Parts: sequence; C-alpha cells; structure tokens
Amino acid sequence: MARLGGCMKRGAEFVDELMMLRNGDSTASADVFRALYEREAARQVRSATLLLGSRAAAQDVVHDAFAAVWRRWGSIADPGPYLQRTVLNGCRDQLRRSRTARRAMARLSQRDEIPAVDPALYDALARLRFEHRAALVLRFYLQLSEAEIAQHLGCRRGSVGPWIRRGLQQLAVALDEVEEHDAH
Amino acid sequence: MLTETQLSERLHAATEQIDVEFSIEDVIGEDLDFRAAGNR
Repeated sequence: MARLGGCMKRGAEFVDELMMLRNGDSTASADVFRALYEREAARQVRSATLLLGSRAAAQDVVHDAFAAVWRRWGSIADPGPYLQRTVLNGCRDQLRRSRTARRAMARLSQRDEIPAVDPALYDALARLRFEHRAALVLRFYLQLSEAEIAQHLGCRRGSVGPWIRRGLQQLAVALDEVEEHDAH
Repeated sequence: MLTETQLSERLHAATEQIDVEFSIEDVIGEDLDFRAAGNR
C-alpha cells in the first residue's frame, strides 16, 4: 500500500476532480466519500490496532477497506457499515493467514508494533478469541449497540451479550496475569 | 473485576496517540495506478 508522503501523494484538487469524474460529476458524492474518510479513518485504524495488536497491520487493513469502498462507490447503499464490515473481515483474514490466530497475535504483538501506551492491554486482548475481542472493541471503543455488533460480525444478536460478558471476565483475568508478570 | 467504564477509558487512552498513516489521495491514487497498469 502507499503511505502518506510516498510517490502516490497527490493534491486534493486533483482528487476532487477524479472523484467527480468517477461519480458522474457529483460534488455531493465526492464530499460524502471525503467525509467518510475524515470521520472514520482514525477510529477504524485505532480499533483495528486493538484487534490486531499491530499498528502497521491495522493501517494496511483500513487502507485496503477504504480502497474497497472506493472501488464500489456509487453501488453501496450505506458506506459506513460496509466499511466497518470490510475492516473486521480484513482483521479476521489477517489473523487467519497464519496457522492459528493465537500464533498470529503472538507474531503481530511485537513490542515495536504496539503503541507505547498500555502494552499490557494489548497483550491481554491478544489472549481472547477474536469474537470476544471484537465484541469488546466494538462495544466499548466504537460504542456500537449489540444489534449493530451482530450485524457487523455476521452473528446472531443473542451471541453478542454473552461474548461481551465472557470477554470482560477473561480480559480482567488476562490483565491481572500480564500485569503480575510485568511486575516481576 | 474490570468495569465497562474502565475498559472504555483504557481502550481510548491506549489508542489516542495512533494516527492515520495514509491519505485519501493514497487510496484513490493507488486505484488509478492499478487501472492504468491494465488490471481492470
């Protein structure tokens, strides 16, 4: 992927022109895509970092999700939920690419990838099943309802509450273990 | 026991220094270069 400052960097006016060409000369459509980026990019990168334990992997997943939205722009009825589902699927795929999710998390959770603030939290989150971790992040970081979480994770609504309760319990235990280990 | 409020505060504090490292121009520019290369 290209990062800010790379050879792909282009001017905002150029991009506005391209978006209008792509979307039938619709300034409103271009504005909506830009607004989606401005509203969602940071919170999606941050939530993906919590899910993956890696800043770099999170940047890749969210960049690719925005690219997927862009490619389908004009045919997506509700881009926000589409972006959210694509980010979650990207995180899941990222973890599945290794032999097991636990091994992937161990590999991704290298200290140089984890933000300096509260590494114990990242270590503890990495010990949870993806569904439990995702339910906690969607509920308590993104502030989504249980119905929205079920929609984004593609599960029954009745599953979300137990995942959150179990996730909270397991995270508390994991945090105690990690913090006790770090103290010695 | 970790409360919901404590977890919410901790998740936000742990991520507030993480910035987005790609721009909207990167997203669209990459798609254009992909198409220009004939990968339609």
